[in-house]
Amino acid sequence: MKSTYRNIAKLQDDFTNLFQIQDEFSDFKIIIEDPKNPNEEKIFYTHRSILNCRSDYFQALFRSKMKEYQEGKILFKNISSNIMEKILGFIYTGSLQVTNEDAVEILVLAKKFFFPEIVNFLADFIAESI
Amino acid sequence: MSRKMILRVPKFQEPKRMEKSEAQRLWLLLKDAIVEVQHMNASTLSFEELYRSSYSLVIAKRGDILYTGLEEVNNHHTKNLLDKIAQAVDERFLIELNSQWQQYKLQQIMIHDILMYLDRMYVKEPQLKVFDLGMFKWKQNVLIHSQINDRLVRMLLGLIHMERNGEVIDGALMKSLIQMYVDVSLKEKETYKQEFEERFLLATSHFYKSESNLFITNNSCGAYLKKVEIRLIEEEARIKQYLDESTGPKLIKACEDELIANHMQTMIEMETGCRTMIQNDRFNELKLMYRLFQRVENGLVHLKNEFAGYVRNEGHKIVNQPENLKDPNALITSLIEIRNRFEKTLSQSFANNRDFINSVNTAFESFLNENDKLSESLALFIDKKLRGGFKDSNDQEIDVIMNKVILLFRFLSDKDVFKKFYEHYLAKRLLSGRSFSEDLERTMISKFKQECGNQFTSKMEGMFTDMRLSKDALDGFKNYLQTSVEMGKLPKIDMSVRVLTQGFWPTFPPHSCTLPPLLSQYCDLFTKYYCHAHTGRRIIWQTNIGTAEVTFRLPKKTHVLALSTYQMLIMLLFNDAEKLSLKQMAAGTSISFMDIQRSVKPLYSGKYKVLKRTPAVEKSKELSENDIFELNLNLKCKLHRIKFAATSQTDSEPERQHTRQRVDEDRKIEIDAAIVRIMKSRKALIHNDLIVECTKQLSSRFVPQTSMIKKRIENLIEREYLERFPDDRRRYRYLA
Repeated sequence: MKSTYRNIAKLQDDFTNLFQIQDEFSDFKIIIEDPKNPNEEKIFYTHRSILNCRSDYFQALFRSKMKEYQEGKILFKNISSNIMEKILGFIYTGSLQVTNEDAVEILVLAKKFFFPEIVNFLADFIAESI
Repeated sequence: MSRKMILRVPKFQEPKRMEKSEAQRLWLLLKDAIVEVQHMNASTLSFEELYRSSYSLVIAKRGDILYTGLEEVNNHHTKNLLDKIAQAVDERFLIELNSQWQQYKLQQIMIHDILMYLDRMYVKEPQLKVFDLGMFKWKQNVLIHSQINDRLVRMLLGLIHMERNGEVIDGALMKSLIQMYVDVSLKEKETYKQEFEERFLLATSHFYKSESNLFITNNSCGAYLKKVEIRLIEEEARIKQYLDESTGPKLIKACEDELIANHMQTMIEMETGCRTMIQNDRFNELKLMYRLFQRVENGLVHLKNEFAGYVRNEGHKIVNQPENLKDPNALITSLIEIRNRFEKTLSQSFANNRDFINSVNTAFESFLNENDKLSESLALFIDKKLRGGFKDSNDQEIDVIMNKVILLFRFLSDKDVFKKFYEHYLAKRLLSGRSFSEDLERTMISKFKQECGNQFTSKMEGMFTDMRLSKDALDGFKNYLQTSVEMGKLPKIDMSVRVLTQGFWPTFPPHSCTLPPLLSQYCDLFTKYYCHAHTGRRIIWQTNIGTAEVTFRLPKKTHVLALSTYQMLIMLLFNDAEKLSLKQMAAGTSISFMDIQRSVKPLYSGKYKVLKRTPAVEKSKELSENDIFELNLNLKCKLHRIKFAATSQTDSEPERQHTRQRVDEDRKIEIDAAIVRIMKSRKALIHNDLIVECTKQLSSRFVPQTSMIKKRIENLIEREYLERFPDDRRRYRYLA
């Protein structure tokens, strides 16, 4: 006999806020200079192992062992922090909530960072909205 | 659709038209970074910045600047590397090449990572992917350059040659350099195959050609086989250690060709080769040979033929050895022995390969049917065993022997001949009370039954039934005698009769004789009793296979003689005569002269002589009808009961002839039956087809001769079972 127990909802809950607070396990900082709030820096406390296995962009970034790898942080300009939060949410939990307001912005970012699933989803979403 | 139709398009993401100068700026930034990467100074560069630059160029449709620029930078860099590497001397060359290559590969991965957006969104066939472009430039400007390629391959092959000669080389270095040929191949490893593999395989063939020729002339076949096995293991290890796995099958094939295929004939024929190994039961060496030959095309065919040839030859010797022809027991024992021996070879060396087993069986079939002795010898062998030869064996051993007998039996093409002989000897065993155990008899028969079906053993089983019924009949007869009126008038003798159903038993050649009046009377009484109990039956007395016990009174001692019926009749004559010639004996008993001769012989020439020949003629063996015999009153024997063999155990030639004749008679009937069966179902058939079909049907029992089938067809036509077609004489029609 064989049986599998799954509790994805719990997993998602546990992972949702994983990158919001700094703790001893976080080893990579994502710093956002939000163009809307130029004086305020937003920092996400993330994990290399998770970014590496969920995103081609971050995998390449870690593999090349350049400045960001050495310093343990990356700086994004021209990205709003709530969009980045959604992208990270997707990386950590596999779910993404889109609204008409942020769909296009997320689509652009998803293209840049190579999330083909999101790109396909948003393309359909936008097509339906028009 | 209820969703609100507002999409916010952020201002800062609006595609701007990029100025050429801006594009150039971004490219120069990237170019500087790539050069830094090529100098292994990447750690201070910002990945995000470079990635963003390449991304910006591509979305602004300026990917071409980036791609052509990259091509140039790579071109330039690899050309510089070539000079650096080519300058390295001797072993430094491989090390320098390898370290540059390892670095280059890492750089290309890094460049690919930075330019990932270009690679995925811009590059389209037939353009090379970013990483492949790097590989291609390396191949073009470094690896296949005249200053590198030939030098590299020669050095690699040189190292492999050294390793094959027992030296230790740097496996990791080999792996890296050989893998380089694979890495720079754009499709199907073409560079690896063209530039390296082809030359490597050639060198391999070369190496093993000369090694194997030298080794096999200076060593035994067994040593050579071991050497080959080790070499193959080494090459397997070599594939794993530093060759591309696609080379594996080709390399092994090349080795097998040189080491095995090219020397198979030698390995079979050489003095220490296959033949000797088979002769001397060198199971391990043969096993190794089998394993190795198995790897090459037709290898096992060679080995199998050699083995089957040997088996046939050995078998042929055994069935034609003069001693064996005289002694059926020795013949069958030797056959069982070689069968055991070859079965051992088959299982220990040849993995019980079906083809091998079949060809051994074919060999057995051929030599076992070389002469017609075997059927009878086999029947006699079992006869001896069942007469007591099994006395000292346990059940398991008996079963083994019986199975071997069945095995040999299976190879006989004329099973009907065997059957006749078997029935003949079974009858003799039963009638003379010599069968050691009825259980064993039945076990043996059940094995034949399993092999050939009911029909084959029905008569044999009938014999056993007769024996049982005879006993009942005899008991009944004894009761009948008690009550019979006539009984009072007759002196009492102990008579035992066996009633044999005609058809179950072999027909013994009919011989007549005159029984003394007393015996005749008893016989008549039995006939009367039996025919009364079983109306419609007829009894024919078969005195020639009977036995009798006779009291022999000498002046000082009395003996009981166990005799055949004929011998009894002869001895009884001496109640009324002192001396008798053979002629007189024949006249007095009405026994044929030949039977007289055979019966008298044991009486005067055995260990205990109850008759003596007068005058005593020592050496002449031939008896003439005028030879005179008298009772030997000086017989000295401590035994009370003296047993005389009626005839020798083996049959005389005429008896054998008789058995054969009966086989032929039976065959006629079987062939007739087969022809009629076939024609009844097919209605019309061409002559040749009928012969083929008929032979096929009968093959489980015997191999009919075509001439005999022809005769039977003629006979059936005469008896109007068949007719020829008037317009086609070669076709027959069945007449219902």
